[in-house]
Amino acid sequence: MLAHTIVAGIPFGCVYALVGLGLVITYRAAGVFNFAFGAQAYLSAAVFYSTVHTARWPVWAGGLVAIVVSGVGVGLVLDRGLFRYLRSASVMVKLVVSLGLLVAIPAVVQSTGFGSGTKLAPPDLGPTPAVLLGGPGALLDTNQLAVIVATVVIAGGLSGLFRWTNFGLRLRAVVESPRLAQLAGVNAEAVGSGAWVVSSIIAGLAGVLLAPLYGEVQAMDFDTLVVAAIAAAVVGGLSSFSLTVAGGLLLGIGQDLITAYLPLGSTFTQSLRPSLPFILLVLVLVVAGPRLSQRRTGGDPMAGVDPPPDMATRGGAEGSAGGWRQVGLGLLAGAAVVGVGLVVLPQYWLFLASECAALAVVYCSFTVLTGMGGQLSLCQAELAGVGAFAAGQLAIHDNLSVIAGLAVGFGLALVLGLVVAIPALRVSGLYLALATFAFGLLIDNIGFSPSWSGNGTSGILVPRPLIGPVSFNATRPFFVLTVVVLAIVATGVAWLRHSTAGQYLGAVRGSELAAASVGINVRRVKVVAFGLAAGIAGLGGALYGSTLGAVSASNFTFYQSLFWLVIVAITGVRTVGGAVAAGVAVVVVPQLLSLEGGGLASLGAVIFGFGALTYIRHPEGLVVWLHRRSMDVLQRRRRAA
Amino acid sequence: MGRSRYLAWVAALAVVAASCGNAPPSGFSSGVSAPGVTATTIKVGGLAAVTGPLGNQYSPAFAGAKAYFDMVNAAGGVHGRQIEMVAELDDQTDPATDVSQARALVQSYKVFAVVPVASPVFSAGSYLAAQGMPTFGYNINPAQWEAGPSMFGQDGSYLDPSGLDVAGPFLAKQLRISTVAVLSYAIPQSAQCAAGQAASFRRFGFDVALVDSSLPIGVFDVSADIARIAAAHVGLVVMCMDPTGDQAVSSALHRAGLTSVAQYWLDGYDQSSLASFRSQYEGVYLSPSYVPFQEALASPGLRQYLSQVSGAQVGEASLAGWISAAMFVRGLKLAGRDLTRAKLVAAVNSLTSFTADGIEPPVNWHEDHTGPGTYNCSAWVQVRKGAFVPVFHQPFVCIRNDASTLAQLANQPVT
Repeated sequence: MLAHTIVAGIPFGCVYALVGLGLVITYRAAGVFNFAFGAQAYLSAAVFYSTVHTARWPVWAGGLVAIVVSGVGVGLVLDRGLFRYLRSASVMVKLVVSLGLLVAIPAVVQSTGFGSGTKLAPPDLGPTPAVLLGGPGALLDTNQLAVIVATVVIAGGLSGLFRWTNFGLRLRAVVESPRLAQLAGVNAEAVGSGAWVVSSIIAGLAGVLLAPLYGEVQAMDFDTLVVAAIAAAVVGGLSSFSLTVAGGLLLGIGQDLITAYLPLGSTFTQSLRPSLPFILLVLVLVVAGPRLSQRRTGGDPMAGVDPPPDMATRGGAEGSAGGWRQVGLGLLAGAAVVGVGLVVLPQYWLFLASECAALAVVYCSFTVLTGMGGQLSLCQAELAGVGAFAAGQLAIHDNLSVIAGLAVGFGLALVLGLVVAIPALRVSGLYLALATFAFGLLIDNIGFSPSWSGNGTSGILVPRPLIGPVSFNATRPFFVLTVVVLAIVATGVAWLRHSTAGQYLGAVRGSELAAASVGINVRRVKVVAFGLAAGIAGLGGALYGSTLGAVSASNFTFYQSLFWLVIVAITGVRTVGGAVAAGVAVVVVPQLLSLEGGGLASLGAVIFGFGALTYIRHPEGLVVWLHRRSMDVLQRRRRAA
Repeated sequence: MGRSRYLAWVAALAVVAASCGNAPPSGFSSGVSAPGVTATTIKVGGLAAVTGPLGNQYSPAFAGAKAYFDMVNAAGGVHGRQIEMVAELDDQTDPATDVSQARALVQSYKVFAVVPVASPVFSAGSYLAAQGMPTFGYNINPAQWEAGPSMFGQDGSYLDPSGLDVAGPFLAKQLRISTVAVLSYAIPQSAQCAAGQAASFRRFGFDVALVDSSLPIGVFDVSADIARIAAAHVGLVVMCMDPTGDQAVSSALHRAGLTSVAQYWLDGYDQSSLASFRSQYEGVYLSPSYVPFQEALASPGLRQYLSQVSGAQVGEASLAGWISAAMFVRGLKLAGRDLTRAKLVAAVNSLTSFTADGIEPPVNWHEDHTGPGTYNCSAWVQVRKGAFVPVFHQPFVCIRNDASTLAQLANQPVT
C-alpha cells in the first residue's frame, strides 16, 4: 500500500517539479522571480490548442509551434521590451512587472477570442484517448509519462547547461553583475536574451505538457499551479534543479499520503491537503530562510558605479518640504472635493466614491509598510478580509456596532500582522515577499472557509453603523463617514512619517545595515511596520465590508493581494495621494469600461498590465510624477511670463 | 503626549462607542413604487458574470431572458406594455463589482425589476431584498436568494448544499448499490455538498466508504482515492464538482480499470462538456432540475425555448434566464394593469405550481423561499454512446423530502 501510494504520487510530483524548475531557471538565469510563468504556459497551451484542435494540425507540429516559436518569441519580446532594462532593478520592480504580465498576458490571449463560448478540452500528447501503460489497473498513462520524462530531461539538461557549458557560466555571471560580466568580455545583452528564451521555452513546454491534465485551458489553473509550485522552487533554494525536483515529488507524494492515511471526513485533512504547498513553503522559509536570503543580499558588486538616482525619483514623500502645511492643504482640498461630490454626484456614484475611500484606507497599509518601511507584503487583502469578517461577525452575533468593529478589525489584523513579521525577522527581499504570500494563502485556504469567519464563498453580511440617532445606512451619510475615516487614517500616516518611528522606518528602508549601525533596532522597526500596516488593512477591510454590505472569501483572495499591491505601486506607494488614486482607479476604471455596453470590460486587464510597466520608469508613482510634471509646466510658464 | 491626554482620548472614544449601533437595512423610500414603468414600457435590467474565469458559462442567461421578452413583446407585451431590457451588466466574476452593479441597476438605470441574475459570485441579495426589488435569476448562490420575499430563484430560492438530498440515495437504490464514495473540491460550497450527500446516503443505510473534500481546483491527483475506492468495493461515486473536475476523476477511474463503478455527477448536464469529454462521460448519471432537452416533445415550454434560443446559447444558463423571464411575465400578468413592485411581488408569491409551461417541476412560492419544499423532483439521464438518454420515471422522479426509509425512495405523484 505504502509503496503503491508513493509511486502513484510521482506523476503529480513531476507536475509541481516541472513548474518549479521553470521558476528556478528564470530566477537563476534572468534574476527574476517570474509570477507570470503560468501566464506564459497558458499562452503556449492556447497556441497548442488552437493549432491542434481548431486548425487540425498534427500534434507534433502544434507542439513545436507552441513550444519553440511562441517560447522563443515571447522570450525575446519580454527580454528586449522589458527585462533588459531591469537587470539591476529592485525586487519590488521585478515583482510588479511580472505580476502585471500575469494579468496582461491572458487578457491579450483572450482578446483574440480564445476561450469564449465552449469548453476547451486540450488535445492528448500521445494517442487519444491516452493509452494506459501496463493495461487496466496501471498507474500511468501516456500523458503522465510525457510529464515525467520531460521533468527528468529538463532537470538534467539545465544542470548540465549551468555546470558544464560556457553559456551556463555566462548566464550566472550576467545575473550576478551584468557590468562585471561585460568588463570580462561577455555580451550581457545577448546572454540575457538567451536566458529569457530558455526559460520561455520551458514555460511553453509546461503549457503543452500540462494542458492535457486539465479538463480545459484556463489561465487561472496555471496560476494556481505556479502558486503551489513556489514551494518546490524554494525547497531548491531557487537555484538547485535537483532539489527542486525533490521538492515537487515531496508535494505530490505528500498529498497522496494524506489522502491514503488520514481520516478524510475531518476538517483538518480537508484543509491540510490543499494547503500542503503553503505549509511547506512557510516551513522552508522560516527554517532555511536566513541562509537563502543571504545568498543574494550582496546585489550587484558593480552597483556602486551607478550615479545616485536624481532627486526627482527619490523624493515624492508628501510633506517632506511643506510638512504639516501640505497635509492641511490636502485635507482642505479633500473636504472641498467631498463637499462638491455630495452636491453634484448622483447616489450611485456616491456609493462608488465610498468604495474608493474604503479601499484607499486599505491601500494606506502599503504606504506605511512598503512606501515608508521598504518591506514587501503579498497578503494585505487577506488581512483586510480579517477586519471585514471580524466586524461583520461581531455585528451579526453580538450586535456590536461596526464603528467598534473597525477598531476590532484593526486590532485583530494587527496581531496577525505581528505573526507575519516573525518570518520577516529572518528573511528579506524576495523571500520575505514569498513568506507573506504563503501566509496569505494559508488564510485564504483555511481561515476564511468556516461559517464563523468568512463563510467561504457564501459570505456574510456587514451592516452600516449608527452613531447615536444618526444612521449611516443611506448613501450620503455613509460616504461622509468613509471620507472621515480616510482623513483620520491619512493624517495618522502623515503624522507617522514625521514621527521618530517614521524616521526609523525610512532609515531601515534606506539600508538595514546603516540603520543598525546608528543604533536603530531594525527588528523592532520591522515588526512595528508589519503590525501597523496590518492594522490599517484590517480597519480598511471592515470599512470596505460595511460599504459593500456583503463580503465573502472571494473578496479577499491572494489574487486581490497581488492586484492591489501592483495598483498601488503604479499610482504611488510612497504617498497617501497614491493610495487614494489607487482606490479611485480600482473602482472607477471598470465602471468606465462597462459604460460602453460591456464590450470593453476585458480591456481592464490590459490597462493594468501596461500600467505595471510604467512602474519601471516611475517608481515614485503616477500621482507624484503627474504632480511634478504639472509643477514643472507651471514654473516654466511663470518664468516665461 | 501625557497620560491624562491618553485617558481623555480613551474616554472620548468610549463615549462614541457607547452611542454606536448598527442601522437596520432600510427599504426604498423615494415614494415612487413603480419606477421604470410607463404606460407603454417596463424597464428591466440583468446582472451576470460575463467576463472572468468562468464567464462564458453564465452570460447566455441574458440571451435566454431576451428571447422570452422578444416573444412576449411580439405578441403585444403585457397589459399593453413592452418589456425593455435596458441593461445587461457584467459583474466580471468579482463580488465587489457584483454589489456595485446591482446598485447601478437600482440607482442609475432605475429598473422596475432585475431580470435575470446569473453569477457564481452574486452578492447583492440582501441589498436587493432590502429595496424590495423584484429579482429573478439563477439560484446557484446559497443564502443570497433567501434574503427576502422579492427574491425569486428560477427553481425556488432555497439552496443548502449541505442539506439532505434524496436524489442520490434514490439512484443507489435503483442501481442496487450498497457502498458509495463522495468526492468534492476543497472550496466550501463543494465541500458542503459532499457533507450533505454523505449524510443523505447514511440516512438510508448506505455504506459511505469514502468522503474526500480535499481536492484542489485545477489539476489534482486522485490515485490515492481510487485505491481506497477499489479496496472498499465502492459501487457508486458521487461527485460534487464541475465537469472539469468530474472528468478528471472519471479518467482516473477508467485508468484504474474501475469501469463498472457507477458515477453520479451533480453538475455537468451540458452538451458542449459532453462533446469535449465523451469517453469520460460514458455511463455517467446526471439529474437535471428541468425536463431534459431530449424529452422536449413532452414540454410545450421547452419546445418554445428551443425554437426561440439559438443553438449555441442552449444550456442551463440561458434556460435559467428564460425561466426567470417567464416567471416575471407571469407575475406581471397577475399583478394587473396598475403595476407596482409590491403588487408584482405579491402576485409571484401567490403562485403555487409554476412550471414555466412544463419545463421544470412545480415551484410553490408558499414554501420555496426558505425551505426545500415538500418534494424533491429531478429528471434523470444517463450518458449512453455519447448521448444523454432519459432514464427512470419521466419526466421527473419526485420523492418526499421527509422520506426516511428505502421503501419511501420511490416516485410519488405531486399533490
